[in-house]
Amino acid sequence: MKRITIIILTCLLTSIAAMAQNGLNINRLFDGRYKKAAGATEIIVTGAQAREIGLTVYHSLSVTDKSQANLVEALVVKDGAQAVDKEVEYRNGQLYYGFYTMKKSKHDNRYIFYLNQNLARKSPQNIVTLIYMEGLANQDEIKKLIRK
Amino acid sequence: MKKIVLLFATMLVMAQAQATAPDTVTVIEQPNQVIITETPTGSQVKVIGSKEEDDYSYTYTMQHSGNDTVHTSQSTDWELNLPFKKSSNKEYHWSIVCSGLYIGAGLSTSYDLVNNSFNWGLLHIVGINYSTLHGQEISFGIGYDNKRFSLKRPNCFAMDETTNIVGIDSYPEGTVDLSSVLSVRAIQFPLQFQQFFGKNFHITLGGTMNWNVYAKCNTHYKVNKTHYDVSYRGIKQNKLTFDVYGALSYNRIGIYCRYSPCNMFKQGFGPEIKNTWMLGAAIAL
Repeated sequence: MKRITIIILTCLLTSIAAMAQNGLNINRLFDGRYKKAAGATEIIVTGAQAREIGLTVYHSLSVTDKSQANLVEALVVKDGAQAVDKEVEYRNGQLYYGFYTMKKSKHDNRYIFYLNQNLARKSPQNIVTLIYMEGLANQDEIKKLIRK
Repeated sequence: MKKIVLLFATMLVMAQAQATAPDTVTVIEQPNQVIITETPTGSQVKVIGSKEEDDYSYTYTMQHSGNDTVHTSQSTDWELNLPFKKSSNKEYHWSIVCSGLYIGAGLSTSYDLVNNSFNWGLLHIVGINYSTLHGQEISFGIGYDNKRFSLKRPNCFAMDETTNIVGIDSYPEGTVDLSSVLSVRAIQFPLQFQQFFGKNFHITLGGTMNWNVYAKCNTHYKVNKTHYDVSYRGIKQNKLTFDVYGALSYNRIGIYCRYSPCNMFKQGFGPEIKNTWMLGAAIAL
């Protein structure tokens, strides 16, 4: 029973998060394909926990598979072209990080963050991270949230 | 922000920059603010303030076509803080513990014989703990316990060394600075249950089997400026006794109560010292 509840809850959260990301190319990555994939971590947070940090939706995906990293980057760049504001850095011809502010969804701000830690100078790690965030938080607050 | 000027200086607009060395456009030392903006048709660098002049302003605009690529570079990495990331500290059901340092004194002096008592020990020098991960823990292990019982005046311990029977005697006439103490040291084997309420508060209930490995009666007194210190070893203590205890703890600091129903001496080898209560403080329970 507990297992079924968890599955239903996960599906529900995924649907809510997917609806929030409607119209974005990265939505393809959040269709559940990484839920059981080795080397991938997907976190979906909505509700009270997300509201605590000024968000209504927090959806992150971390992948260690390099072939998947290329797909993630391609979709992020596509969405980035539609951004109303962006901050990007390329290293060796590849997107190192991208912080995109997308068009508002009703009252909420929408952000996409991408980071390829393979391209880090100090301690490169085989991790590519994509975060979709939606909420009232402004750019500075989001940066504080995701930057040490 | 000032770094950005230097960083942006490395920005290459690929339009027609071939193999020629780049020309320096301008050098602005210690700008107050640098704003870089980008539109679909171009990029702009705006510098506000300089080393000499706060009101200084400089704008550099570049037009580029749809095929141009703009590169940026900076020396620092993005130190990602991923919210909601699961802690790497996994929780385990089984663990090895060292816990339960306690020190207490006798609750009551209602006994005819015992004036006061004292107790200290460590419940788990080493123990095995099982957690349900839902607020309940059970542990068992091996520990150390020390109890001392001091006799009411004018009673003192005296042992018949032929039979090893400890009896109660009286001090000689004119005795001062007197004390007579039974000390029992035990290796204890506790089995306890803990229920947590929230992160910090928990109650503990448990019992121990005590293997009383050492016991000694010591009588000390002074007569006519002469000190007497008499120790009786080889006394016949009960080798196995059992205690029950309970504790309330907050942040692993709390109070405990321990009840010892068993007689300290073997039947017929000493006075009855049993049904003792101890109350005291405990840490790391």
